[in-house]
Amino acid sequence: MNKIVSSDKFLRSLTTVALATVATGALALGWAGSAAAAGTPPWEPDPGSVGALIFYNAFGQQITGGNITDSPLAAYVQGADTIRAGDSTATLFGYLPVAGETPAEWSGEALSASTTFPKPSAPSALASSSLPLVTGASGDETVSQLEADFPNTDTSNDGYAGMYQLRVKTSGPDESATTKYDSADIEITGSTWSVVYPAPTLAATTTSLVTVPASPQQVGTSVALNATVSPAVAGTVQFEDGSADIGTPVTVAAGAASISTSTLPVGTETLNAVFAPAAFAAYSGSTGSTSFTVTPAPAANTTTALGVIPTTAAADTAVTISAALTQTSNSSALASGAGRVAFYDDGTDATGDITSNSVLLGTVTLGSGGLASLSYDSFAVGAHNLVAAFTPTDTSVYNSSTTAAAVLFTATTPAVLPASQTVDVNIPAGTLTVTTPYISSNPFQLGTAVLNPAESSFSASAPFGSAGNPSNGVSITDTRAGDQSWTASATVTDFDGGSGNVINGQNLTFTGVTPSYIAGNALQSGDVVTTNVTNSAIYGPTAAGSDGLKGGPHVFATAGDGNGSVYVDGVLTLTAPTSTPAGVYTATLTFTIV
Amino acid sequence: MKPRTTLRIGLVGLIASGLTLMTAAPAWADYAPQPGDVVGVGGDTPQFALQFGADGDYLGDAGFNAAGAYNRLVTFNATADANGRSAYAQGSTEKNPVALNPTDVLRAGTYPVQRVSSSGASLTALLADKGATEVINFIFSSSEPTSAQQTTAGSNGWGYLHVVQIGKDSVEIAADDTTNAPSGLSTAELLGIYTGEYTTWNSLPGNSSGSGNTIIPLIPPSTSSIYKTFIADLKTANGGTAPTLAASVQTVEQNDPTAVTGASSPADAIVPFSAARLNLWNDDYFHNPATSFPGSSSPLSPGVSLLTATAPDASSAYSSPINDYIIFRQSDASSTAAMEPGGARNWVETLFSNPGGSEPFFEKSAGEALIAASGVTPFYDDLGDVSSG
Repeated sequence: MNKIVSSDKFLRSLTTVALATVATGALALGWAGSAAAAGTPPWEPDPGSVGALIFYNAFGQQITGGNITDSPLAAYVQGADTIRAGDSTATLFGYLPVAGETPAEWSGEALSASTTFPKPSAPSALASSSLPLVTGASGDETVSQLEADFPNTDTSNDGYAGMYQLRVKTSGPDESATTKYDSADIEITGSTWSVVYPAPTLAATTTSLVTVPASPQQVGTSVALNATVSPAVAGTVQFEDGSADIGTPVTVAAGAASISTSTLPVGTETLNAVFAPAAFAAYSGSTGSTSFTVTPAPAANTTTALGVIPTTAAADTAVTISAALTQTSNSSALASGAGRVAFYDDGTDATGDITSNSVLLGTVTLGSGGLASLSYDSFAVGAHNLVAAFTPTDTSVYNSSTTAAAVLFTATTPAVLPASQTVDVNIPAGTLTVTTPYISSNPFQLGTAVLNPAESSFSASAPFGSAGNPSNGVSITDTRAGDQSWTASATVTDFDGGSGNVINGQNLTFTGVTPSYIAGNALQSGDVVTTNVTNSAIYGPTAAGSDGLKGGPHVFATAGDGNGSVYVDGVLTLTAPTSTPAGVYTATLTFTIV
Repeated sequence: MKPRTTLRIGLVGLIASGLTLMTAAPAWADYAPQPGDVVGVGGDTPQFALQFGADGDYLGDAGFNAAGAYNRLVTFNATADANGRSAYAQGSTEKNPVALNPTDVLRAGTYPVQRVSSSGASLTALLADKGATEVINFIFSSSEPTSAQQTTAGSNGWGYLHVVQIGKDSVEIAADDTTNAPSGLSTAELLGIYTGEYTTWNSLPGNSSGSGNTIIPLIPPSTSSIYKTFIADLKTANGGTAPTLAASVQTVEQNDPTAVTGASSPADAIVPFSAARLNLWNDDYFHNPATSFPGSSSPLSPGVSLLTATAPDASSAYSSPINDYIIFRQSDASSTAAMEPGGARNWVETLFSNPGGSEPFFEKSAGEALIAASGVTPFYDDLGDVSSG
């Protein structure tokens, strides 16, 4: 369906183009209106103004805004009305509108030097005009500088925020500058300025777009995009597929512009014809759009050729079965990865079809040259009718195919029959053990407790294995089958000193827990994860709980795939309150592993 | 080229014809500056550059005040006469001219004071303006302040006198369009003329075939930049010894061609002259002052030309560069008071010196066009704290 759309797209397009031409001194923008300052500024009509200002770029095209750092802000600024007859010099000024003041009271400054008019070197329409005309020059004051010299601090919604007024006054030999002026109100938005008042007026245009042939078309089809501009004014049309340009702008002739393309992608796209009028000052741009669908090409038929080398061999001899895939229409080989080939053995069935009785020998992804090969060495004695089936990766590109006819491979009786033997093996269940070198007759000695520097507790500490003597710690061996994990834990009883004297087992900790791996063993760095067992207080004899090593059991080492042997060492530390009576205290520390 | 009517008018000549000299009244009803206006006084040589810069030139270039600023730029010319001529008091005679001592009102509501008539006088006036409220905000001068004057500025609490060059000019020798002088005079020949060594044209080395008439050497007032520049050059040519001017040397208003054209024998008169001022004459700015309002439509010819050709002694013709400066108190440069309501710049930043900010008016192309219209070559250089002599 063809449709006419608003000029918004045209404006966006022009904005893009204009930003690339900032160096020319102005933006060639269509009038899009001002969101912030739509409508008439509150001081208008300005009694000091006798007419509007119109801004032009170096080509004489009207502009309605630009970058605030452009110097000059416009190549030409023309007053719409004669200010004082006989004057021949014009100067551009900028002023800061202030709420509560009349325009005559505003502060401002000159933005240009005074220039003479008419200007013979200006574009023809301007050169022939007797209206006031300021010719901008590089080095002229920018809107940005005007803003810096006279900051607009109004942030209210009174219509003054961001606004400045540009004025052109005229003078002449033996005549001072006029007090009246032609003027335009501009708004600064970010890094750009735009004319707000008087709102630029441009004649509307419409652009329609049709395609020949009409949508939909198969991919690769040459499609003509025909744009019609009304009224038939000069300009260019940029055709677009969505936001992507199709070619370069096409000059409009007699209200028409066309372009052809055969590279539209598969899918449904919006095609646009963006019209940019040559006469910016007189006409607005417009965009015609149409939806167009490109269908994919039908999937190509394929041919599967099959061969086997050798065609006769002794049973259980390796033979190579190869399939070659080509596009049926032109015999070109399919690309690598275009699909997979399944090879079947139909036995004595020579029809070449694939049935439920067909035995799948293997499946191979298509390689370079459109070839897929399978080496097979288990054919029994007899006839083997081989077939192959190609399944494409993308069914929208290729159709599947099978071999047209079976290829016969004959397996003969081997000269020496093979002898079959049975071999058994027993994998033991294995064991998981945790041991220490300490027994009742050789207990682990924490030694004599000492008072800490603050004399607030007793403490005794001793290494439970070490890097130098890892076997003095915990030894873990896992010979179990099946790559099983394990978790090692510990728990301790209270320390008994006889005569009812007790040190709470929660006061015993196991810290600095570190695995010591055995060179050449299956368990190596990173396989065992260790955890310190600590406590948070010094407990009295009767305090309940499972802090430290008491209760639990408390995990201190784990392994995900535990086969192998490892030592786990650490430091056992007992801290006792100073109320503990003297004596020898004994506890039982139990290590478990599951 | 506009039609030009050669009309020689010399006040001295008028005296000779027995007419009464101009009266003591101000040359025009001066605008009396308001408190926020920026007031400048200065020397004769740069006066038109500043006058045009403030109010626009005769070609249609809009001046600073054309923006309709609430606070205006007001400059007072060194000469009370808009044609740049001297004014003389009643009773003056050709042989005994008496300067008028013209006055002006620098601020509204104040008494008339003696008009600042030279670059030197303007520096003196600025340094004397030490009241709580400035009367003179800046001066325009063809001379830099001396080191002693910079010291005084520091003692005044101003930091220093900030100097901004706005243009280039040169001092050359002017003679009547119909002159007996050779087409060029070297510095050495001028030294001889002004010290009385050479009194006739044919006594000049290499000019024995010249006129035997007596040379009439004229010179501007000693406070003028033209005088200072010229005498400094003669001193250099004299081996560093200040020349003793001959009794025949007559003092005249600087840059006034009528000093030559009105001399007793114009063809024999010469005077050091601002090349820029003669440019302004030749650009038809000045019109016949004898024509009552609305004035003559025909521009007034200066009647003088510069002697620029090679001198009879084969040396180059005398030409000495001078510059036009704006000079103000450095303390004003750092003022936080905006010149214009709603503006962000003080008057120094707006007009003359705004390092790092937008160009001040006299650095802009608009300002330069106005300077150029006065005959001066625009050249902006923010010199800051400098001195000479």
